[in-house]
Amino acid sequence: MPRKSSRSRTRRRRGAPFITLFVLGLFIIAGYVAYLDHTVRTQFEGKRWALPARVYARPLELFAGAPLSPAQLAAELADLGYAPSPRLDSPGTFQRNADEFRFITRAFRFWDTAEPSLPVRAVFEQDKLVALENFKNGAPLDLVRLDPAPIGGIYPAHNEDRVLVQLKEVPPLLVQALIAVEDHRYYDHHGIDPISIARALWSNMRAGATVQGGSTLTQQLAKNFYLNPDRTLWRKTNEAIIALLLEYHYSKDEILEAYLNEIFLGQDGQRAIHGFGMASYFYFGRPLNELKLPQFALMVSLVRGASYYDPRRHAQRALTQRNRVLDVMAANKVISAQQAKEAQRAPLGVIAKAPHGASSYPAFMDLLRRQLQRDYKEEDLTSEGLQIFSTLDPQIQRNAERALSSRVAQLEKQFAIPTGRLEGAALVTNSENGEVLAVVGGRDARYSGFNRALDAQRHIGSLIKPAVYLTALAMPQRYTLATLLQDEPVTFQNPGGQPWTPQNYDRQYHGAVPLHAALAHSYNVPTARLGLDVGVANVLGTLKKLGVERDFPAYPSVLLGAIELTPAEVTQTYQTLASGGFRVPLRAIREVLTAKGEPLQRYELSITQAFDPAPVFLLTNALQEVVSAGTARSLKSQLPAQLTVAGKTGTTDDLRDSWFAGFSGQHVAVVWLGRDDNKPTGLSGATGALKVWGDIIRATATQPLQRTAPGNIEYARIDPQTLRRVAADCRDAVDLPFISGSVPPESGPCASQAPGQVDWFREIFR
Amino acid sequence: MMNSVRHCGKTAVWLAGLGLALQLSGCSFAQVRAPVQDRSAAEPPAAAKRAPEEESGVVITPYPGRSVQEQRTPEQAPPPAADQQSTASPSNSNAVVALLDNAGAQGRSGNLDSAAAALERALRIEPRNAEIWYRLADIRLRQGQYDQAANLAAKSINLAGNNTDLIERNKAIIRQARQHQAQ
Repeated sequence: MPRKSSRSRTRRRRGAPFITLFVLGLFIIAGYVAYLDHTVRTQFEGKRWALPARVYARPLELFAGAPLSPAQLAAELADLGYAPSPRLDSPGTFQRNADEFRFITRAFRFWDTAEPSLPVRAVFEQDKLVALENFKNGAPLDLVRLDPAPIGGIYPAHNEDRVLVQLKEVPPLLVQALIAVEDHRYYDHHGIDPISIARALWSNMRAGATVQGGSTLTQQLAKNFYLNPDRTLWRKTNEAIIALLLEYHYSKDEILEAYLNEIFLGQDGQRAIHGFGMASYFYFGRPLNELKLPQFALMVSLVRGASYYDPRRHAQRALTQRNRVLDVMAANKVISAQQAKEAQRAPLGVIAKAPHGASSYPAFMDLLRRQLQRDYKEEDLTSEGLQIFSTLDPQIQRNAERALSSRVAQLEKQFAIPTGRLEGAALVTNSENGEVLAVVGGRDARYSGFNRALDAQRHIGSLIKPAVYLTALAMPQRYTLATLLQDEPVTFQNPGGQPWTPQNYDRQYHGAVPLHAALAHSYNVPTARLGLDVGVANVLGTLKKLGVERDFPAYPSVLLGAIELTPAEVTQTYQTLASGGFRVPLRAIREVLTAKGEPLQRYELSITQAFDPAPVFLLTNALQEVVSAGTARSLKSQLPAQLTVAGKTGTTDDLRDSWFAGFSGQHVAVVWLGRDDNKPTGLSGATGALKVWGDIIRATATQPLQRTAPGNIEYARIDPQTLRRVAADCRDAVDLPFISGSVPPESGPCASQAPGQVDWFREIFR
Repeated sequence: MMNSVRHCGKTAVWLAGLGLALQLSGCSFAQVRAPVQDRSAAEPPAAAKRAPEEESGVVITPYPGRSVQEQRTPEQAPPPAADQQSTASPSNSNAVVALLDNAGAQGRSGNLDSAAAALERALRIEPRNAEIWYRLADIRLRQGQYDQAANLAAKSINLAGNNTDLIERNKAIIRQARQHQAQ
């Protein structure tokens, strides 16, 4: 600066200061206009907006035979914003007549193919979709994939949200309404409209203040796009220059399209709603092309002041303004007076609650983001407009949320837990392909703070036991389901520590117990003995093969669950059991597409055989007994009789953690209940988490657990007294699976039942 | 984003006042891609649909895995003989058959990713259908994903029950995968 001023002083002394200043001034103005021009063109032609990644739920697949109830289809159509319509004339409309639905699907571009819009008739019988056909031509439809529900976006801290629209897909009536109200000479001016300005000036002079704007749409775009909202003369000048430049470079349609996507139309917390594409979802829950005149008029009225005319907070004001817009449209002959009158009678039609921006399912989105962050930069996720197809099943998610929050409240009362203290988490996955269908991170599922499903590391108690028994059953020469384990007092010496005397939950000892019953009843003492027999390190090795990636020190107390895992880690281990010993990484993402719908990445199904199927089959047999006769038998009162499931209860010292992990033929679900401060809750696995688990599974359309016996499994008739094989016609004997070569030797005649003896096998069928 | 643009604009105005205009590439106007996505471009016929003449009227198929026989628990009706699929059709479900047809067509024309996607879709409908797992193993083999091919074939065997033909085909895949891996 000092150098420059001394130079100009030198020039002034030479005697031509005025000309120099004039030239300098011209240079500055020309430079400034050139700079604005550069700015205008760079932004207009480059990527104009940072677009958050948009996340979709799994699309619902419809086919004859699908286990789907009419209520579930109705809920799905409501999620998607399908509107009931007597005429059924456009995509996104439906009719329901008891168990028969007719609807017109929306066309949607998926990773693999584009689904066309189809007229569909779906007929239900009880809780099953029995027929699916095209209602226009009667042709049967094998498979129809609905458009997926948007479940959220991935945003930077402060953000603008928009769904980009092209001018050609914007209903003409909306554009006409906008032009009629905001700038009816739009197609006649060159960016600024002297006539409007004069009129505005006149009314402002009369009012003595700025009360009316003479801004054209182009000026409004210039202001929104490039400038701050101050009403200064300098800003007005810039706005005018930019408006002229825009009109010089671009066509009316290009400018209009940018305007339709840029204009601010609402606020949702830190999320600003920009453009009519997003506003349509924000206010009406449906895409723009499905809206009608009254809705167009309402959105156009928001241009003047989205918060002042907010239809959710100021319904009356919004209604008045909407009707004023309709009057202007009629006056400009965009619509007839009759149309205006009809539209003015329509209600606002705004959905009560705006679709959540970041997401209604914060715990699931948290998992999804963690998986995305392995492959994508944060910046790309918040700006590139990626389309992310997730695995979330909104219906199962809501079932799980509801089950957790209502049971937790009930259990607090029942067990005198201080209100609001009992917390919980739940996950539901597809048992064969590892897709994560639901994640609940706490009793308040909308709260996006501490995600217990992924981050709460808690002692797992008896949930470890399947790892102990699987380690043993993988050695068929030593252990079968019929091996007798000793449930008698025993003390172990911890290496370098105190002696350890495991106790059973019921503080009793049960003598000789068959292996399968020891697991079904979750006896600690025989489990600890068994675990030490097979080796703590081997049990931890099994845990690792089941999918727990962290390492733990090999203390004997590990055998009774003295290790901390998150509900998600537990889910991964039970997933491996549910899929017959094949480890499938839990996945929250199916595919990622670019903003334009080009395939970018597919997260494909990938499995690893971690165990020989036969011991897993035996273990699953015992885990079914947990439910049929063991610690989880109370579940039978919650579930329909034919719905066989397998699982394991988990309870930790002083009743601090209540767990249940289990699976049906189609789903794995894990539930944890406990307190964040780790204080006792009074809940065991069976009295707490199991109840939530039962509620979730009962509400979910799932299939019973049916396992296919591997080739090397043989069934043998076993006498419960002698644990020896007996003749097939022995009345009291039971069939039990064995790995070939480990079937007990035949003992001949049937043994008689000694009185007073616990019959471990009979109770399987209680 | 608008905040940064505004801020940038102000800075730029000030710089311009000093006659230093124009070179402002550091500001955040520069972005990458054209903004307007084209959803309307995607309207080809659905590849997954079979021709209507193959069908006669509305087809009502029992959902696989819900037959009376299969509803018995292993304890009640041992030993279970597997979810047998007849060799004639890989599935009772028209939806699954359509997807398998689609996967087959994609596979024949070399679109192995699309074929795999269709098979995964079929598995969501019938997760315990051993034939689908076999076909996915076959695609992975053709893609050179030998480890996955072997694992998927093992999974298929695990679900195949006493379908010896399918078990043999899976074993062949595992053998080929091992050979490739050994090379």
